[in-house]
Amino acid sequence: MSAATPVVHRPFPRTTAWVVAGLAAATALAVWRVQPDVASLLTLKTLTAFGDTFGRLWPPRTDAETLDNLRTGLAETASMSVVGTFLGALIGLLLMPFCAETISVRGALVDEEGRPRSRQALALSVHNAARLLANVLRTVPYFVWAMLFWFMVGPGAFAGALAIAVHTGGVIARNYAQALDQVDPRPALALRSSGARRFHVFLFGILPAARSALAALTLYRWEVNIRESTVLGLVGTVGLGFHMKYAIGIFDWKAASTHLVAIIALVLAVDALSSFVRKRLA
Amino acid sequence: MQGGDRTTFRWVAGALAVAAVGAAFVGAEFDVGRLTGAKAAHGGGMFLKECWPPRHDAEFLSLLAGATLDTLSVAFLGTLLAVAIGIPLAAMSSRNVIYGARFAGADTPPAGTARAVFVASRTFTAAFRSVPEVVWALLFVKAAPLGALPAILAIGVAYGGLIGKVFSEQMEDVAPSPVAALEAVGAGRVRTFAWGVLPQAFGPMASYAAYRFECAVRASVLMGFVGAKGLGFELQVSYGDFLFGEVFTETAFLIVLVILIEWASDAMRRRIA
Repeated sequence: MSAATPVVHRPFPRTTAWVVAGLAAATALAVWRVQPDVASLLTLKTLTAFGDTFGRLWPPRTDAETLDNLRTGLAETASMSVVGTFLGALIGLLLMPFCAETISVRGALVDEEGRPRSRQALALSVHNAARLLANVLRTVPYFVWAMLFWFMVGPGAFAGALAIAVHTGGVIARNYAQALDQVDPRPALALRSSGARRFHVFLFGILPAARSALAALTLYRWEVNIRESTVLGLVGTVGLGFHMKYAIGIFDWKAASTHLVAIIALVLAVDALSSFVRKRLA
Repeated sequence: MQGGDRTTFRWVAGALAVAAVGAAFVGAEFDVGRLTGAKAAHGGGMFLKECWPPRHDAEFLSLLAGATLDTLSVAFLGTLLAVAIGIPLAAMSSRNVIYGARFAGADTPPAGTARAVFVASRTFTAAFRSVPEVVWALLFVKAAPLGALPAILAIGVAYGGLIGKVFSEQMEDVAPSPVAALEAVGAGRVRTFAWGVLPQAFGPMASYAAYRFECAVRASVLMGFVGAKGLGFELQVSYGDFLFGEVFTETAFLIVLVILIEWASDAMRRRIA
């Protein structure tokens, strides 16, 4: 480089202007569409209403009836999240080997001399079918699954747990498969070339290397699911979310506050427990 | 004894986990019989049978297109607000910004105004994100029933807390020397932040904001169940009226929307990375 070449330092990417223009256009479209009433929001009356609402939340109600609702709500919400995560992980484990490319269509378990074309084609179609199934489970939102299961087994914690399980199964099958695809292939190749059976190669050459990643993904999903099982209550008729929605509906702010505190405590507790265990696993 | 302690920990943790999962199955009233029984098959069959034919007349489709636009608009404005709330919170929560480059990794910050701002900002960030966005929406809707605003505010506050935390981690991760160089030539806190920290953290920040927008689209659908306009509202109305042909079409809209957003956000992240 000649000394005359000017060095231009660009602190931000060159495309920034285009991105800013795009964001501005999207903002304009969105504002035009929903017409947010900011003028009414920033009036003294509305701001006082916000203050009032949050002021009424204190102190949380602690009479016997509220605490009774709190107990059943906590049990239902926590149970839905645990059962949903557990069954979802099972679905994920079943789909995982078929969704992972390095297991089902290439890699140590598949690559070998003289493998018939038809078997490779079969493997590929099984792989695609498994991925399609996982994508269907994943992209149908959990509250739509809940609608279906409410219809089948009645509204309640069981339907909620099933809905979370099915959705989680789809998400986690994809996550698990990605974790397997990132495993170092050399131990598996070594086992395979020393004559180990395919199942044993998977069990001892691939799975151990992915084990802690799989556990971490499951725990992380539990953190998401505790929030989803709260939200299912707001949509349906089960758990802490429902009790809170009901209390707000009849303007019983202090009972709503009790359930709100419980939701926050539960979410924080699950986050803390999950990150504690994940740290010990790493 | 290290090995022995570890083994004990594992056994105890394992036993506790098994007990907890077992208790959860009881708590969730788990009963395979209810899922495989004739009643479930009847209910599920009816649901699926009513789904066909899905409603697809022009009037309904244009209603759903409008609802989709509402959902997207709320998600977009919510994310924008969240970024606007998150950036200052993140800056005030980052040691290298609020204390200066030499404290980038220090555990014990000096006492004073800067420390008070740091603690307050981290507390607010944590409080904002500990309440799920739909719960925020429920509270805001009751306080100020102003159309789409409560939903936008709810996403802004809840995701502002999440973004504030993640942005601050990304800001604390930047190389310290450019920040120190700016400080050395006498740049103030704002300029050091704008030209030393922000440009370095810009890529990861944009990528995380795109991911949050993805989440905001799903959240914005849910807001429909607590009173906001959009796809979620239409879905709830149709389900309440047992119009499963409509539910089917609405679910199809949702799936296409989620896939498109995921695809766009992936494409953007690949470009930035």
